[in-house]
Amino acid sequence: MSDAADPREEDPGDEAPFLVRVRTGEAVIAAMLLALAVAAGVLAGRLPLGTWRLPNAGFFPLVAAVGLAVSSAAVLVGAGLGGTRGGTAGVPIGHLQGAALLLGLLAVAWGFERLGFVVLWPVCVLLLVLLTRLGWLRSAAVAGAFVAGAYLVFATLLGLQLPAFVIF
Amino acid sequence: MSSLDLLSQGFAIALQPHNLFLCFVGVFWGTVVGVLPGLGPLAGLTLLLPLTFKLDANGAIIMLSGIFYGAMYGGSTTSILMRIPGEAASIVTCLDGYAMARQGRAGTALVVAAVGSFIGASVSIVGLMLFAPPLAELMVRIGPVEELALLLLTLMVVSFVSQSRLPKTAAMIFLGFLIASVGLDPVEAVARYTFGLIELTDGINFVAIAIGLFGISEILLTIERIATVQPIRPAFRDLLPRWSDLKASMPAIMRGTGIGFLFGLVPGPSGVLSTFTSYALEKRISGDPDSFGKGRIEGVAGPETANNATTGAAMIPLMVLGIPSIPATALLLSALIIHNVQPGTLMIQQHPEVFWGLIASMYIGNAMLLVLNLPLVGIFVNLLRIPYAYLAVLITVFCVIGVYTLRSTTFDIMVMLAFGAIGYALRKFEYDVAPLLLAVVLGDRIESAFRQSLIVTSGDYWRLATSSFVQAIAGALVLILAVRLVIRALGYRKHDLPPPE
Repeated sequence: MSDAADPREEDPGDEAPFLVRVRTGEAVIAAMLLALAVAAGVLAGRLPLGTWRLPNAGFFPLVAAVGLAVSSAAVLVGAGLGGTRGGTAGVPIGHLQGAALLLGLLAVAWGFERLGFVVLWPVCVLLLVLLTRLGWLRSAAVAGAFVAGAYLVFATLLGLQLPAFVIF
Repeated sequence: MSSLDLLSQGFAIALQPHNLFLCFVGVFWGTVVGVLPGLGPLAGLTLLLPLTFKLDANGAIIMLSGIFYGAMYGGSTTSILMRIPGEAASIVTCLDGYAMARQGRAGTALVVAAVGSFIGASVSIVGLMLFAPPLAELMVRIGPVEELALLLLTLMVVSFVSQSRLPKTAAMIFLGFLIASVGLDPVEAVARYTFGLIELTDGINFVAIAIGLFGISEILLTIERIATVQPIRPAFRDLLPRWSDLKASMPAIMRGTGIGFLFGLVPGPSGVLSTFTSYALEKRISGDPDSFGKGRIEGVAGPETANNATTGAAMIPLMVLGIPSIPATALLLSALIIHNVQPGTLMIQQHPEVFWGLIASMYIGNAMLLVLNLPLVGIFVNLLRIPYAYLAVLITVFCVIGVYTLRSTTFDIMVMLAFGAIGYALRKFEYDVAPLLLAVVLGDRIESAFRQSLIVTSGDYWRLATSSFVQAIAGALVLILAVRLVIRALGYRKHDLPPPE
């Protein structure tokens, strides 16, 4: 990289509540994948497996589950031996903004067909409040413009099948 | 009918006013997403995918491919002016491009990047035009055994070139296979992993997975480190490069074209790898390697050309075999299927208007990009003044619309959300999610080809192993190993790459 000054001015924003070592994080993910592989393998075993020469519906998922189990176990062993390039470096996770986005999307999935397209509005307001320093009222106005504009373009002008703007 | 006749028909389609407009929209939007950090070709494609539902197949693929190759152009602008790569394949351009900008030669770097991109992309389109039709004719004759060999080879190559370690990449591929197994099995329609949910009968929606893994997770990662930027602003008169710069960059552009085209044919992060290889080659053959990173024009010309030369080449496996080599072309595959065009061996015969219209539009689109990227560079740079928070909100809204409109079910929003969180965790801890997505796309076909191959050979694995299957795999693997050795000899190491995206 050039020795010139970095033009980026990082905005530290909110501190992440968790700092996880790369090795720990990859081991946790590998353990979860291993558990998933075992569960998927058990479920695949309940499907018709067929024979080695003429496999049936359960054969391919079983092979995939075994492959996932072996490879995730290898990652676990590797993490235990410290083979990761990230090593002991800490990775910040669990920022408030990210959690808000995921919860907001959960609310959208629940309310999109019950309350209408407008359910995106409070989610966008929340995101703007958390990500900018606009304040609630201005965030509400900007988010309202975004959501109404998107509905106008996609549902009204382009005729895409979306829920009504407001469902009573 | 000769290729030239077909190409002229393609131009007749691409030059229709509405297709020209769609091509312009595509390349313009592609440039925008390429310029904006945190948005790459995949995000650009997913955001505009819903817009194509009302278009015909020609218009849709012309616009979407415009986004794909337009993003490759746009990525260089922020690399040169701000040392911020708009997308992963522009990381190398930061090294010498930004150093040139600091020396007051930003205009030269931008012009050489644009000219190199134009040449690289144009040559790769010629390659696509020349190689795809005869290859498609050859591929019509392949059976399930050969198809299985090709599909497995694709995933092997992906695992070889992935930025993660091999066990992690293998885990991602097998996880992709498991996800692809959800729904009715492709041969006997037995329900697998559906848990009684009707939404899972057709499997998990690939586009929802792609938007979650790449769109939502990207927002989650980017909003943690929102930054303000101070770009260098070149004057219009600075956009005229010196003759010596052009002369110095031409050989690098030619080499970058060859490297980019070859890498574009190989599945995996071809754009990123081609730029690193091109940079390493330029540095290696230069008489003064220490000057690289301090403003060498070859360090901009080679990688930027290579990056854009991959785009046309990456279309060859997609169009001829229906095999997407990178996530962005996987989304193009989905878009074609949505429009009832099945990419693969018969596509060029059955839908010549789509194939040749696309080729012609790529020539036109590249010319548009050359014009767009030089005089309008100031406008694109100004886009970076838009706070990412607004973009994040807008992208979230677009993602929800894009996913919902595919099947009109909120279940897909849940899938997108889940894969957004999964993608965030995987990317944080250096698992490469591109192989996962490709395995999801190819899983069904691999299973079908495997089971059909066993039916063809009466379950005789020895016959399977002694057919062209093993020969093809072995030959290709030897070739890949040879390429890896060459790349290593040039000074490239796996850890030179940025963390997995």
